[in-house]
Amino acid sequence: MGVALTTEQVLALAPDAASAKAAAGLTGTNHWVLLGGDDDAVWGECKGSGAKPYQTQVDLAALLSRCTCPSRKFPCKHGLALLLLYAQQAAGLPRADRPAWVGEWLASRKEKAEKKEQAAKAPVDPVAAAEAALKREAGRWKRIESGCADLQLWIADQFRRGLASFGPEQRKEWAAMAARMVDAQAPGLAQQLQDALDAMSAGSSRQDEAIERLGLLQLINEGVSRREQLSPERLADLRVALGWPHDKEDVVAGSDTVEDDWQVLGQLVIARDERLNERRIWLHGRESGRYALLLDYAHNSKGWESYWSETSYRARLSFYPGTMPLRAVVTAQAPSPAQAWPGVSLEHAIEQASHWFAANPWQPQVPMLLASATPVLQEGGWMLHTAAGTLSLRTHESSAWSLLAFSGGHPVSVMGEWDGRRLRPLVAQHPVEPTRRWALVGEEVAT
Amino acid sequence: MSAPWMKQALVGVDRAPSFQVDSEVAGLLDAVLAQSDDPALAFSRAAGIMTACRLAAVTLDPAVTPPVPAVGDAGELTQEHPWFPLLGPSFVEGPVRLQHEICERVAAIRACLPAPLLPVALDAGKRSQTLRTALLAAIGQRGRWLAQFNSAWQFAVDGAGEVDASNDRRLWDEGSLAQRVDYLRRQRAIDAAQARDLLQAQFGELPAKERLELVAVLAQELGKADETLLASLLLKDRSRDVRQLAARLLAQLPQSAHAQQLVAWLQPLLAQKRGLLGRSWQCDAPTQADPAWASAAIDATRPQHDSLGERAWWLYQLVRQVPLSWWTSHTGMNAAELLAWAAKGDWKAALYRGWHERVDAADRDWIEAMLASRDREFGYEMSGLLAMLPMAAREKHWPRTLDQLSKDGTLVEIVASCALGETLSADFSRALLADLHTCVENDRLRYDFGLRAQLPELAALMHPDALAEWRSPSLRGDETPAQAESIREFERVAAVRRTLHAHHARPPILIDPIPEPR
Repeated sequence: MGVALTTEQVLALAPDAASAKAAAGLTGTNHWVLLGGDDDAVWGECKGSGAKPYQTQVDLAALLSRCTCPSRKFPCKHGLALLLLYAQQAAGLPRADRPAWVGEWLASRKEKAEKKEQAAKAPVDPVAAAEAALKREAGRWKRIESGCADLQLWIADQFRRGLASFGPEQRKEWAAMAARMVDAQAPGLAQQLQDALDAMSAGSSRQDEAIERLGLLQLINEGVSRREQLSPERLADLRVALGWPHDKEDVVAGSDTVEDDWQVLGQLVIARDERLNERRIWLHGRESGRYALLLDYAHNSKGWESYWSETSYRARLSFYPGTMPLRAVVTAQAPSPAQAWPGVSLEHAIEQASHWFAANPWQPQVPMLLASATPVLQEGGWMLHTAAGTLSLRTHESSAWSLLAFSGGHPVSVMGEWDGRRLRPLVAQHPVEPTRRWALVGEEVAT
Repeated sequence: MSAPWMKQALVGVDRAPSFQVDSEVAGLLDAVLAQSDDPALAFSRAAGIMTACRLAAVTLDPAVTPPVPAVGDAGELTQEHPWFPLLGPSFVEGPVRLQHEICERVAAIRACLPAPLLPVALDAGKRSQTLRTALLAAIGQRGRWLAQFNSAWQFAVDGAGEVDASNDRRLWDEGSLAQRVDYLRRQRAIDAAQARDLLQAQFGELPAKERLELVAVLAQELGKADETLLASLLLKDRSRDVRQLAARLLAQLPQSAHAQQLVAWLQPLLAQKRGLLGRSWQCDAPTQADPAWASAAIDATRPQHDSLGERAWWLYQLVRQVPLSWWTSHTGMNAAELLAWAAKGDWKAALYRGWHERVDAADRDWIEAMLASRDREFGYEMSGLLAMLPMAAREKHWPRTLDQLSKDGTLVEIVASCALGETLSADFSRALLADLHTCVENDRLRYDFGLRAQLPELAALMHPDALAEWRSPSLRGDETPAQAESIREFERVAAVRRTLHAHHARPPILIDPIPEPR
């Protein structure tokens, strides 16, 4: 069987800790009435609470699983357990002929992939397609303009009334306006409004953040009304802020493509809601020196599009357009030798983050690498002490304690996301022994 | 966002805003403000500009003074160690017995817990006081360093646990109550008189709870020399609990005035009578309260809701102080005979309650007799009696099937009577493990909530040799979620323990301390 997996790599696929735990409990072969595999897939029938066992199968090339159990989690505990069994048994699962249900699924996956490929290759009338696209785009701009006009007046009204009167009624109003932005096909504005609402709801400690967020929203409204005067890069920034990114195909076809040894600096999975997980993977190119963000969403039972468990990859990345492109899409990847984190001075890290935000104040976060920083708990707040001053940390209490324990009060190298106010630490390394590392564990809901 | 901006945003913007800002930005703001007649709209645009300017210049807050860093630990378990993946979940999910074993195993290989897991381990110590001693031996210097930052982890702050002799006295002067008790115990073992003097010197400053716990230490190496202190406590201490404890300890010193006084009170109540079948003992209760009882921690007034009558109450208080050995030597009856004799008399309740309170680990024959009697008085606290017996003796009192154990509630007793760190014998464990297979197959586990609830504890109590032979039961597939969960929990704990003990023969896996960066 073709793919070598470790238990840790499998557990990294788990949607939550409960699934990982449940899967570990299903690794006894007595739970399985059938187990088998070949070069492309592994499969099994797991005893469940129903009369019929669940049929579970994993496509080893994509590490995608399918199961007949009713779980909405993906991969479900049966899929994970099957992969754990595969990872734990050095000799692999017993080789066997594919049952019909496995063959059918693999064939249908192959068929879909081929259809997609053919559809991509199918000749289309470029003029008609361009016209249709333009029409669609114009329609969406119209709805966005209308929504932004409402939002502009609404924000001004909030300031006219004064935010001190914020209460349950206003909370409903804000939520209604966020829903209005979704209707206006500007989900990015809805999200930012929701973030402002969260800041207001947190009390006086975050009121200034809410004011700033409303101010930045007002700049987006201005941008939309003057979009024809904007450069293509600035327009791309604006579209991302509106929640209208460019199509992946257009990005791949674009010119900003870099092939490099990309080091995985850190990654984070955030549960946006019950059914939507967002994954952010931050990369650094050894030769190009560029930073990149792979942004991925898993909706309902869909898995991640790609699998990033190694520390370094030889990969080709195509960057989304923008004044300071960070988000990219990967078109080819293969594991490459591990490498040390880039040497970045504190001044450069701060300068770089300032530069990114100066170019585009609407981006939610940028990567930050600090070579020597000490986690500190001061007056109930978590901070990162550096030679140039301190940065507030944005992290859950349990993660902050764990990071403090890891550092032991000594300076460590920290990679995190700077959101303009606080740093969310994702990974910390011992400066002398980089293999001793701390990483944000599991899913974190945005704080 | 500066204060004037905040103020306007909060109270409401009803006129054109004007702010002192940097000259270059001021021009931009003026231009923006001039674009609109609506002051609130202009304000919101200006707020956006100010925010964009702030974001474009990452500003760090003033430096703070970082804490003194921790000293490096030589034996921190690394991520490659086979125990590493088990530790975090075990400290979150328990049971405490398993956490205790982890700490002991880690300390046994002269290692300490991985630093990132210390918070969950310390949280477990916060929840369970009984875990703390073992935990302190496993958290290393890093754990003690970390504990200083969280008020809930003060039990583990530097100075607790492993300290060298030169620091010992500091524990007595500055430590927590548990540390002071521990220190006094150690001193008592080395020099009983010195420990007593140490306690006596500070006695006046201590609150009642501390006095009670510290005086209890005197039971260790109790001797004639302690009589003076105990007698003064019996007479003068403000706390009734302390007075009662002093009385109990004094009663253990046969030559003490208190012990002799008790015997003098009790002896007339026991009389030997001649009957048709020979001589027999008869017990009576005091007929009236003696004012002298007040000096012996005996209350003349019966509590309002006590089940004993007034005379029985007086008798019980005398009985609970007198060592059980006095009864056997005075009457010539052994423990079982005395229990049978008391059961036939009028004062059974008072005698049984008094004896039950008096019994301790040294009275092995009394414990066995009480357990054998199956009397309700002893049935309430079976686990307490069992806990005083060695494990092999305890197991003789337990059925060897889970079915029976669960049916008569003995399973809870087994768990309650085993202290942390104790395990069942390999033989008894094997019998229970074999029976667990039957319980899974015959649906006992499906319907028995009590058995399901105790499974994780049982897994933590099994002898490691027996657990190593454990094979997962074959499931039918129609298990209820609760049933499956209980089996899963049992297997989880069993798997962790098997791993912990699978490596006991290996040499310690340690890593060299990494030089801390400057």
